[in-house]
Amino acid sequence: MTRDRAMLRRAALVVAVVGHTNTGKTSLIRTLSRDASFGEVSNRPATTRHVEGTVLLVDGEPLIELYDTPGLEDPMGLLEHLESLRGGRRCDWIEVIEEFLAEPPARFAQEAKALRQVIASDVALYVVDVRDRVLGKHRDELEILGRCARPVVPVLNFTASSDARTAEWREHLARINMHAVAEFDTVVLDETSEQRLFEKMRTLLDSFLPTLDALIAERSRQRTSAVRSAAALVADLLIDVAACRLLVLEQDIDRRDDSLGQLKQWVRQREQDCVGALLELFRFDDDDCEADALPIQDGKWGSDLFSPSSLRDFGIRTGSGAAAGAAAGLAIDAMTGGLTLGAAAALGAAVGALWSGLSSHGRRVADVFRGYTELRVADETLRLLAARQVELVAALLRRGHASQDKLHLQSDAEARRSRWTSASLPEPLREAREHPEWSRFDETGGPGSERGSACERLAAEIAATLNPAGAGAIP
Amino acid sequence: MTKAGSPDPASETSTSGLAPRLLAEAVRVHEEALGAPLHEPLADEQGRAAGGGLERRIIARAGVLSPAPALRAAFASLRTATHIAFAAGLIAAVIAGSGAARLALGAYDAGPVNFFLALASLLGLHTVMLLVWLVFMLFHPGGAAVGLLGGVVLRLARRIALWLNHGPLELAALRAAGVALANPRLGRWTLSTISHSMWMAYLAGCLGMMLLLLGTRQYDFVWETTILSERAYVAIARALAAPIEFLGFPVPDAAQISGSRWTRPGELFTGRELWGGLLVGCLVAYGVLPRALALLVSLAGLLRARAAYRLDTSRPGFARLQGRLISLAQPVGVVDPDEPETEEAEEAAKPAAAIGGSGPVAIVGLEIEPSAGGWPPVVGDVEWWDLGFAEDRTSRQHIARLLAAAEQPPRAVVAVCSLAATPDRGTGAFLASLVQASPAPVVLVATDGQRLRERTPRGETEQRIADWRTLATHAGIPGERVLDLDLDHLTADSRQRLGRLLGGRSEAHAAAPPAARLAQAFHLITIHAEAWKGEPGMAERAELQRAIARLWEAEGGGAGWRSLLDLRSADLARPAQSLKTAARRMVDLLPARLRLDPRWLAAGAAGGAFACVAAAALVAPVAISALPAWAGLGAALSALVPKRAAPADDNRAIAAVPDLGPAVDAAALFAMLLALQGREETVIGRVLDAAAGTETHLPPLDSPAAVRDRLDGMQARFAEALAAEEAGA
Ligand SMILES: Nc1nc2c(ncn2[C@@H]2O[C@H](COP(=O)(O)OP(=O)(O)OP(=O)(O)O)[C@@H](O)[C@H]2O)c(=O)[nH]1
Ligand SMILES: [Mg+2]
Repeated sequence: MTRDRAMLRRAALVVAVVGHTNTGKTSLIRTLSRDASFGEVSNRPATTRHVEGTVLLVDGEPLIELYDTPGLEDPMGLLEHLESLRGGRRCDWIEVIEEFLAEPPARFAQEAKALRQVIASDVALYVVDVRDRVLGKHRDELEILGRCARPVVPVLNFTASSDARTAEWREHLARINMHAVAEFDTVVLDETSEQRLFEKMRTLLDSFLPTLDALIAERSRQRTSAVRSAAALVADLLIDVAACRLLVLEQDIDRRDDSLGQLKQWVRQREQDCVGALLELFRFDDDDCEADALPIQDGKWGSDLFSPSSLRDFGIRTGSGAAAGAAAGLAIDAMTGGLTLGAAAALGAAVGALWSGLSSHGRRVADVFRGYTELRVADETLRLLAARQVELVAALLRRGHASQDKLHLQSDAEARRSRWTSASLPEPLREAREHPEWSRFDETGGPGSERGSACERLAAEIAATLNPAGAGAIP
Repeated sequence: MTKAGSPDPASETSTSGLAPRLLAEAVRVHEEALGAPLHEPLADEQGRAAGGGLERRIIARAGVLSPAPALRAAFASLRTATHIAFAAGLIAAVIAGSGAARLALGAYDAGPVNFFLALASLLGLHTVMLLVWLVFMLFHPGGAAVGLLGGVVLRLARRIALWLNHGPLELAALRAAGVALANPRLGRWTLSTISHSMWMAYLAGCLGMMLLLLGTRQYDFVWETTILSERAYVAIARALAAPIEFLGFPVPDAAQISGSRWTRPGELFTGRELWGGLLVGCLVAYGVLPRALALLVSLAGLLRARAAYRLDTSRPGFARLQGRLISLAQPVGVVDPDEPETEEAEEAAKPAAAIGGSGPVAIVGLEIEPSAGGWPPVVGDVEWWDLGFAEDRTSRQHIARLLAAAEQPPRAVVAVCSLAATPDRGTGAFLASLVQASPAPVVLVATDGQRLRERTPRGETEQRIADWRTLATHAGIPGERVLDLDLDHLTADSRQRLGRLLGGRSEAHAAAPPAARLAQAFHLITIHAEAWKGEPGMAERAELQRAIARLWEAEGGGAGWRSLLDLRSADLARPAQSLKTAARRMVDLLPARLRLDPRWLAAGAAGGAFACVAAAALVAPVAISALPAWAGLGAALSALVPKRAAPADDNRAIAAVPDLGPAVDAAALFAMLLALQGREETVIGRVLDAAAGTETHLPPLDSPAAVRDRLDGMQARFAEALAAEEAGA
């Protein structure tokens, strides 16, 4: 008896995804399974003409089987056919449907596949394009599904669209006694909507409570960890770039352009690496994104990091004095030993702190005495880099695997961006400025415990901007 | 970190223990330095096959990656280095210990040994350090910085390892070890163990030297004090001696103790062996024993910490492997395949009967929303017979009945569908039944093009129209009777097309030759551009567009473009709103390629917005900036007119050069739109697409000559595209 129940709990939950054609059934499965290669998606009718499945796994264990079905294209005709099949008999509708499924007429072959899958499943997700009005065809589809003797959870898709009629749909569904309704958008993935979808299923399926709970927990854990990892990646990049510097001998200053080129090249490559890592972290493909015209390859993201207009796009003002340097993307840190020492001496006690606390700073002063000039990445470029990466992460967090469009920057990204444009640079970055050895640009440089702690602090700050109330705050 | 405490039995197989985890950690450090994970599908496969959680899979993958053997070797050499450093430390500690013992007992002829001073110099530092360690362990359990000597040894080991070998892999191994030691539990217990071992060596050195000296030389032990009483001293000594006596060492009794107080030189001392026994006993009881205990505890802690060590899989280098190692979903494949379509006996499309004769034109809406322009739409002098909307089964049947029972058969039946809707078999079936039931030919009008364009940024409009056409053909409506025209934005051209199809009288379509008018407009743009000093302001740009609009106004072509941009005069009462509408509309009229290009997107929005200003200001002869309404419009406009996203490869200070490009592009787009007014929206889109040209990186327009050049090119392409359209029509 108890073993039976254990077996029952282990059994995967079987879900049929049904709906009118072109409402995003295949897209829904793509997004839920984080698999952009599932099935075929197009903005045309009857794209999916077969039943195709995928299993959601948690640590390798199958939890939920999702089946994509052909769209119901002619519900009015089908309902009429079912009614004629039933005739004047007084039997249950499910019997009529089984009779229909035994020998479906050719014109309802697609609908028969969908209904067969519904009957073979534990629950049906009925996907709606909420940009449509509630039409006769939808009523008839709901009517037919209602006769299949399976729980149905309507999924209102396209809710992020500006002409979504969510309220109208909810009202109608409530009127026909469907109260567990999930709102979704397969393209603009809202962190909570996915969870709520599973919760809605849970209310109708108490025998699968542990399964759905396990999935919900796993998804939220994944999200938290993804935010943390993404923030760490961005922090690592920023520290690398903030810390990097190039020493150029004073007499070679006219050959500066070569050195600049070298540094720029490195920074761009470093950013590209970070973008690659972020895409992989969120399970997006490099070429997948190219096909999707992710703006990393074209448009703004692909644009030159160092160009003044690119800086301007992000609302980052280049200071007047630094304009020339910033135009090249790099500030020449023309720090002279005399100046620093003079300033420090004026501060009296600060001298001791300067020399004892910042040994690397001392080295930098020595470098200047030895006739070197430092080339470093300008603050403006650093800010731009930070804003771009943080926006990329935010966009990836909200990107469903069904997306085929460019990433659209969300309006709340403005707040995040302002963090990088207005205030002074975060403290760990300023610290990194003093530690060229923290940068991987320096062959022997890189991770160390101090750098690690700076990275961690910066990552926490980034995670907080990404997710003010959420994952960032979880220790 | 405490949650890592309970070892997970599942991961205790081939991937258990510290070594494979260190290897995985080193692989991560190495891959992070490379910028991307190593691409070795076989290793990824092995990782996936390992099953279980992410950590287990990461470890399995790391074990079979190509740098794994070299990394293992690096760890071996690191271990050697650690052993060398450790041994060196031990030796140094033994030497230090024996040295300390010698010093404590003093030179042979230096007179009697002060017992308590000797004891303090031997055990004082040791005891203090032990207490410090204990305090840290008890009150600061999170910190790893326990065990000073351990830190020194590890730093030495690092130096030696770097000196032995310093390739990138060795560096990775070293850093991995550092990461592992940064784990509070592991680091703490490792450092503690090393420190305690060092102190044990020190004590051993002490003890050895002490026994040697005491065995071979003769020392006198005394004690002295200035401020303490003799009673107190005896009590201290007895207290010290009690546990030692318990251990079986000979110790002096109270009388012997008080008798050993130093009084004057040359005195004879007794109880040497007792005092010596006490000294050795103290070393064992207060040095060796507690240290040994601490060492054992640390060893046990170290073993447990090693077993409990887990990778932090949220580190980016690990987390990004998730996609390769753990699939979130496992495709099942197709379970119910598509049957190859049984070739339906396609009825030979009967030659479409001509539309003609008298009678009204029946019109029926298929799942559409009544258009803004009212229902049925006004098309020339067509007399409509409104059959209503087909929304559900009842209304469909009702329409069929109406048609069948018509007293005066209609001349034609127009079914209006929405391009925003997906053509499906259900609608197809209804169209087919309409064709069957209708006594007159059926025409399908696909409206709502604007909504479709808004919904599909990728420009799948053509595809959608083609899909509707296919559906109609299957239902028995020939392709030429499927018209895509926006009933909300009827143009002269589309009215004419519909009217002609329905066999009514159609108003003549008399537009001025567009190319000639466009040439005038472009000439106007050049003249204005010459007058501009620097980049034109809002007012100047609006002025230009008003001038362009006047060219068409003169011959009565004003209504057309205004309705094309949704600028009905009533709306001008709400300027901000209609500014937005016009900008939006202009952008929607652009073909998808241009809409995706930031430069043209900006030009479109600006062109539309200024067109709105021009429309409002057309009648007034004064300068636009003098109009009273302007004050409010300026702010709304500048919010609407996007900053142009400049092509971004020029590092020179672009900002210094004024760029007339945005203003010229916007005005040119507007002029071309005026020249194309009255045509189908799809035609407009195609011609604009061609005229815009394909260069993506245009230099800034900084001189009138450059402006003329760009406009000339545009004009040539425009004329060519228009000619092609007219030849095709
Ligand atoms: N903006 C947006 N687009 C969506 C959403 N869901 C689906 N789409 C788009 O809608 C179109 C149809 O998606 P599909 O997943 O192919 O729809 P389907 O229901 O599987 O269609 P059939 O298989 O033909 O029945 C595609 O162009 C998707 O990109 C959504 O939530 N938001
Ligand atoms: Mg599909």
